[in-house]
Amino acid sequence: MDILSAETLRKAAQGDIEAFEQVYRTHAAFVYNVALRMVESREDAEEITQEVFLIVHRKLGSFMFRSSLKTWVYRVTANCAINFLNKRKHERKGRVDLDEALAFTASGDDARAHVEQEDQDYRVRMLLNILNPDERACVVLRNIEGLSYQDIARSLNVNINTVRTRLKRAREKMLKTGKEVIADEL
Amino acid sequence: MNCKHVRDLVLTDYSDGQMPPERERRVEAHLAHCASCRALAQKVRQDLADPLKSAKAPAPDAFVWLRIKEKIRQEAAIEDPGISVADMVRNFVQPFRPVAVMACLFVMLGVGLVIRQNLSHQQPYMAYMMGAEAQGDDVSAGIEQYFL
Repeated sequence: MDILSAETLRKAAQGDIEAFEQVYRTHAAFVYNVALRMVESREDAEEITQEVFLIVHRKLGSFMFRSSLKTWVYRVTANCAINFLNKRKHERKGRVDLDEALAFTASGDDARAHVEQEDQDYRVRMLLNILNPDERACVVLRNIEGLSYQDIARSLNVNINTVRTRLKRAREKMLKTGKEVIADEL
Repeated sequence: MNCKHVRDLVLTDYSDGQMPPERERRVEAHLAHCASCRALAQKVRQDLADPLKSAKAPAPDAFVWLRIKEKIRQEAAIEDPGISVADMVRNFVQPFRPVAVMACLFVMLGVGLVIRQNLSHQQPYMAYMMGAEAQGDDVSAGIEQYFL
């Protein structure tokens, strides 16, 4: 899937900024998309995108190409996003759970207006919001980016059965929440 | 396959198309006659898979790359801060190094000559002292006798 030539990667690893810009242009969309689905704020997603590419730039020279560049970039992205969420959760000393998500979906005119405007996107965010960072990473990589279980396992550095377990739990939560939200909207 | 097993697969491998064809056919055979599991499969597809699949994929703003580029430049500047003061001194001194070595040699030679000259001035005194000692003429004894 990597469409960058070995020459471009070699130059980028040696510090050629134009070659690295090609690495950025090739991977920026999915990095940003994964980050955005993980953190749900454009500013935070941009911050994560920046952090991911700075890490890639620093470590590209020592990247041994045992996995594809894209899988490695996915891994860096998922790690950065999970760390970001864990840090934010720790800072807030709070917890995003089912009740909080339901409270948010039912909180007045603003939320309802948003549903009318961007119903689908809102629903996606609401569904992802109830998941913990690990579950969210699995769902984003599978359902939005279309990675196979094997690639998700490589990207998150976990066992393939852990991917299955996280997806199953995540979907059970999302189905339950979806049902309650629909009941609430009626 | 019982319903629990099929429901687990519907929530994972079956809905994600991650199953071998043979197992998939067995799940579909179960779904064909089990309305409850079939409803779950439909719900997973409609409520979860489809909305997420069509979720927007925006590109990051152009300034994100500009910020990254600037950060890379800053990091490069920290790693390679250019010429330090010590390097500047070293570079300045480098062309004069042979001259400096020659100057050191001349200084050492000069010091050596001065020392040698001083020694040659002291030679008559030393010879006198050594001669007096040889003759048993004890200067210090004469002084002691004078004070007594």
